Amino acid sequence: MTLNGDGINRHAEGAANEMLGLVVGGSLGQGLEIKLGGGNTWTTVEDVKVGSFVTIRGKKSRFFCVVTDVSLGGSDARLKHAPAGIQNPLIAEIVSGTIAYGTIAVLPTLTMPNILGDEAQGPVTTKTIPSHFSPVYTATEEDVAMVFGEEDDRHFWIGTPLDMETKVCLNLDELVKRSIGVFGRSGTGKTFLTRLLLVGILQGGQASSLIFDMHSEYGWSGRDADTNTMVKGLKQLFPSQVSTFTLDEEHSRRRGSSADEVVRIGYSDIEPEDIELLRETLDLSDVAASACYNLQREFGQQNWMKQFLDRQGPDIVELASRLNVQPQAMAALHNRLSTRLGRFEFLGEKSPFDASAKVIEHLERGKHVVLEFGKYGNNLTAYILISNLLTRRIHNRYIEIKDAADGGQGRDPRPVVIVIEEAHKFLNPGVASQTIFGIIAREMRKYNVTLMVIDQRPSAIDSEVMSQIGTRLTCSLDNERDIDSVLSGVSGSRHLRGVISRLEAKQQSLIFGDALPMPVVVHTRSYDETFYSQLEYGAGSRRSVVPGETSAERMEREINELF
Amino acid sequence: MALDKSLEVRRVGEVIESDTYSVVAQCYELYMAPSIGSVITIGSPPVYAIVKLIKTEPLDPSRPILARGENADSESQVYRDNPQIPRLLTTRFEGLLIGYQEGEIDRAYLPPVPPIIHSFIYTCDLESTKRITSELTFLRSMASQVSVVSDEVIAAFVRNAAQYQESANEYLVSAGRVLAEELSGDFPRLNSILRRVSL
Repeated sequence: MTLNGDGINRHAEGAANEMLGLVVGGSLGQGLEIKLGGGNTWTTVEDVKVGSFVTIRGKKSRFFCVVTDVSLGGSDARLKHAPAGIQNPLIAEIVSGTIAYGTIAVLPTLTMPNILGDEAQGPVTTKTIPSHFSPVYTATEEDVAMVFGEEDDRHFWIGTPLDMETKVCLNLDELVKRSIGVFGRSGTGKTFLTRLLLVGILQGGQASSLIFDMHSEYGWSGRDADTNTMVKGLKQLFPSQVSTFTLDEEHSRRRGSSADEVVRIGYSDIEPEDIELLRETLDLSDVAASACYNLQREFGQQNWMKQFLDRQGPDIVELASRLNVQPQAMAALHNRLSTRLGRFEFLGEKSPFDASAKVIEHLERGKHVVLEFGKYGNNLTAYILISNLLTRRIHNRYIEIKDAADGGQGRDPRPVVIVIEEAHKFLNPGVASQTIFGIIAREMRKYNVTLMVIDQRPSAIDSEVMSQIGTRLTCSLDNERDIDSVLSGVSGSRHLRGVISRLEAKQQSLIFGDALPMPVVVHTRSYDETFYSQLEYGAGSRRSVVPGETSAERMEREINELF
Repeated sequence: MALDKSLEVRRVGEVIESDTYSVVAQCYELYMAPSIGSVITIGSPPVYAIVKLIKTEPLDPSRPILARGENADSESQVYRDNPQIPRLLTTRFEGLLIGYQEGEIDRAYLPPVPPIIHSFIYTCDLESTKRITSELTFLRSMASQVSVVSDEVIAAFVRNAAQYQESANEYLVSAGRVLAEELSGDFPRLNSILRRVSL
C-alpha cells in the first residue's frame, strides 16, 4: 500500500490520543517500566487498568503492549516518612506526578506497522523494545482492531477487551489446529464460553465437533443458573448442522428435544482399556483391572464381557485359578462390573447398530455431534466409559483415513474437535499416558483430531498434556496451583498471574495461545437473544464450508443435509 | 509585600564587585535597592540577575554606626536630627547572574565573562519581567545552583514573577513542577520553598 492521505490522517489521529507517560526502563523479558505523566497531561494511576492496552512510539516502530501492573513511585524516600505539606493543595498538585508519581509495567508483545491500515505489514511478535523516554499512549480502537482482526469466515468474535468496544476475534484455523483448554472455577462461565467457541467453530466450518455433553447443556436448551432463564442449544441455532445423540431417550423426550440417534453399546464394544480407565471410579485394584486382559485373551474380544458376567459364584473362583488371577480380585471385578455397569440401560449384550460408526458417519458429513448423557450426567463411570470408548473408535478410524490419504487414496479426514468435561478424570498424570485422550492430546494433531478440554482443576491434568494445548481460555481461578498449571510454558507468565486472579467471576476470561496474537482479557459476548439474532443475520452471508470440498461435493452434502 | 504592578525601567546603581556567578552593586540612593527576588539587568547588552541579598552599612568600615534615637520620638526624627547619616551610609545588594541577552536571544546560563565594574544596573519593566520570568529555564538554572541561592530567594522570585503572569496559579504550578524536577531528590527542601510560595 502506498502512503495515502487517509493513512497519514489516521496516523495523526493516533498521535492525538492521550499521552500517558514515558518509558523509563525495563527489558524485553521482564517488561517495561513507564513513568506516568511527562507530557502536558498528568495522568494518574487511577486512569490506567491492568489488562488494558497501550502503544509506545519508538524511534523506528510502534509497540503494542499490555499493562501488567500499576504501582506508585517516588523520587525521594523521605516523602513516605514525612509527607508534610501535602495538605496544601498547591503543593499536592505540584508534587503529584513529579516527586510522587505513578508507574505502570507493560509487556511489549507486538510490533505494529507505522502506518495504520497498511495491510502489507501486519503486527508481528516483538523482538526488541523502544528506547528510553519513548512516549506511551493509550491504544486506539483502530490499533486494537488491527491486532485482534475483524470478524469474517476465519475469525470469530469472542468478546471485547475491557473498557473497549473493539471486537476480539479468534483465528479459527489456528484454534482447531491444536487442542483447546477452557478453565475456570465452577460458576465462572465455562459453559457459556464453550458454547461460544462451539458456535464459532460451527460457523467457521473449519472442523466438526463431537461434544460429550455431560449435563445436556449444549445440544438442546440449557438453563442459565444465574438468571434462571433458558438459553438455546446448538441444535436449535443450527438445526441442519447439528446431530444430537442421546444415551437416555426418555430424558431427551421430557425436555422436548428429539434426539437424532439413541446410542446403545454392546458388551463386545467394551475393551479391557476401558475398564482400566474406570479403575478409580469403580474402586478396583490394579490386579482386578488388569484381569480384564486375561479374560479378553481367554474368551476373545467379542465375548469376554458377556462370558464373564454370565458366570456366578464358584465359576468365578474356578475361572480365576485357571487364569492365574487372585480369586478376590476376580470376584471384586465381577461384582463391580455387574452392579455398576449392569445398571446402565444403554449397555446391552448386543447393540442394534454400531454407535461409533454412526458418530463417525455424521462427523464425516460435516455435522457436529452432541452426545447427551441425560440421567447419566452425574454418573462419572458412564461418562468416562462412553467418551473413552467412542473416542477410541474415532481415533482408530481417523488413523485409517489419514494413512490412506497419505498413501494417495481419498481425502484427509475432516478435522474434528472432541469436547470433554471434567477433563482431569481422563488426563490426570496417572492415566494420561494410557487413555485415548492422552494420546490425542499428545499426537493426534497429525490425524486432524484435537481436544477441547473443559475443567475446573487444571492442576490435576498431566503437564505433558497441558503443554500440548494450543489455545487456553481461562475464567477466574483462585487456586495457586491451578493458575501455575494454566500458565505453564507461557512466556511472560509471571505478568499474567496477577491478571488471572483479578478476573471477575462473570463474563471475563483471559485468552492466550495460538488463536490470538497476544494474551488478552476479554469481556465475553453475551449468549442471549442479541447473540442469536446476530447469528441469523450472519447466516445468510456465511454458508458452512468444508475446506477442500469441490462445488459438486458441497452440493451433494447440502442435499444430504436437507433430506 | 506590596508590589508595584506598573513596573518601569529605573537605574538603581552600579556594579562595584563582579565575579562569574554574582555581582555586588551599590545603590545611588540609600534604601533604594530593588526588592529581593526581583529581576535586574546589568549593562548593555543586558546580563540578567536576581537580587539575592541587600545590605545597608557604613561607607567606612572602620566607623561603626552608633544608636542615636534614645530620646527621639520616632525613627524619622532620628534621621532629621542627624542629617549626616545618609552621607555615612550606603545600600549595597548582590545579584545572582542567571542569564544574558545575546543578539535578540535570551540565554538562560551564565555570561561568558561577568559584567564590568561600574556597569549600570536597571530594574526591569513589566514586559521584560514577564518575558524573563515566564521562561522557566531561568528558574531552573537558579534552582540548580543549590549551594548559592537560598530557598527564600527562589520563593521570592516565584512569588514575584507570579504577579506578572496572566494566570498566577497556573504559573505557580508549572514553576513548582520545574523546581520539583530539579529538587527531585530533596523533598524537604522543595517543600520548604513551596510553602513560601503558596502563602
